[in-house]
Amino acid sequence: MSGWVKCKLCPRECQLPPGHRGDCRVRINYEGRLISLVYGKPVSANARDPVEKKPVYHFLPGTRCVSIATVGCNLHCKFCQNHTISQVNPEDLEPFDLPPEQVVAAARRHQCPSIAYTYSEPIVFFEYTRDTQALAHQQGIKNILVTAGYINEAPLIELCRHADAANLDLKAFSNDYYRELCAGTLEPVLKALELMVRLGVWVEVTNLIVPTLNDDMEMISRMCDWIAEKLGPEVPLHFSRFSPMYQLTQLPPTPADTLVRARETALSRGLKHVYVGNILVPGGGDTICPDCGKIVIARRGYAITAMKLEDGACGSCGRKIAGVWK
Amino acid sequence: MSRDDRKFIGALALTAALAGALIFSMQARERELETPASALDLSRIELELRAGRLSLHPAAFWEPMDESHPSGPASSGVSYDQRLIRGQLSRGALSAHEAAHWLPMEGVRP
Repeated sequence: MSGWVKCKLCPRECQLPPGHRGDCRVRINYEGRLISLVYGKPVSANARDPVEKKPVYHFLPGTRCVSIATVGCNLHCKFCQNHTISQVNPEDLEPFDLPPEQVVAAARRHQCPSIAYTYSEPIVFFEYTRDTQALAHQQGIKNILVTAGYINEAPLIELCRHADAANLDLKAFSNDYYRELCAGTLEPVLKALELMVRLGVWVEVTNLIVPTLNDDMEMISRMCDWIAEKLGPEVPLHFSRFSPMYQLTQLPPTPADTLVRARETALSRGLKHVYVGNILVPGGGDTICPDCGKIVIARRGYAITAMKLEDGACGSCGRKIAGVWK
Repeated sequence: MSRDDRKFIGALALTAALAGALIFSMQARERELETPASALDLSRIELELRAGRLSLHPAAFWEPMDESHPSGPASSGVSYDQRLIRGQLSRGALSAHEAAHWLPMEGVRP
């Protein structure tokens, strides 16, 4: 086994002989050492992304963030909406040269209060994310992880040291779904969710509903029960519309009715903040006060059209609304 | 051998073949999940490194594999993990029970 290395970043724990790359495509065994090929080399960088696009709805609403992503991912979802960067090798795309200092400088220059590590999978560009996050915090800028949460516990703890918010993509509440559609497993994702909440990261969950594959309301009920019990009923849940993409072009987009039913199901299971995204459904993006039922934040798409939040509480009845508001 | 016997043996053979194919495909999928490493075109990688389009940044969270130490000798990755976990433990971010997953040498077991 001379010269082999074992990557311990994610549950795959790839065992690599010299001159091989891991499943994520971006970590390689180079002369007996594990090396990241993408540190400071994003292929996507957006200076003024609305945080609502991540989506995070209870975290600095109405603000913009710098978004960065390198190539690579440690999951291989057949419906990936960013497969042109997540499922390619780093040597196949031309990256920007953007070290952590420049990412943070861009956030300051564009007056963005946060940086999002997003689009592909920040776990696989772990070192770049970690160092940029630490530097951002030194300069008073917050960090948002947009991730599938397929990571081992020790590196997740390290990432959470400087993470303020996360949107975690819970693909389905089924191990079979993870295996068949994503080449992963469910349990590490659930553990990651619990750990992030316990470590004080503001967490929102996204569930992409794919017609015929994970639109069973009984499974959605079980997922909501788990979220309510393990993460808490105040954790926002975003049901997101699937669009035919990548290796699932034979399926139709998710019907609006399915998303609305999923939302009703989640509310009936006790979740307090449930949203519908990637589609314009009346009220689907509004933050509603769970006590008085009034709209606290009204949204249309990524835009906020009305805000009745006062010191983190409902402007009508004063009920505290969970989130990070400033 | 009667006609029924031949039918029975034929059905048995077909069942065995189908079961074998199913097991083979399940094992293939397991292998796909468990051994995902793939070989690199190193000359291409080195070309991209020289051109500055890739980085050569030390990764965190890994360990060398060594025949004489099946679980891997202490490495920068392993000691880094343990410092981190001890820090989390001392700040109360992890319970002793959780930390024990990463500190097996302390004699603590979950």
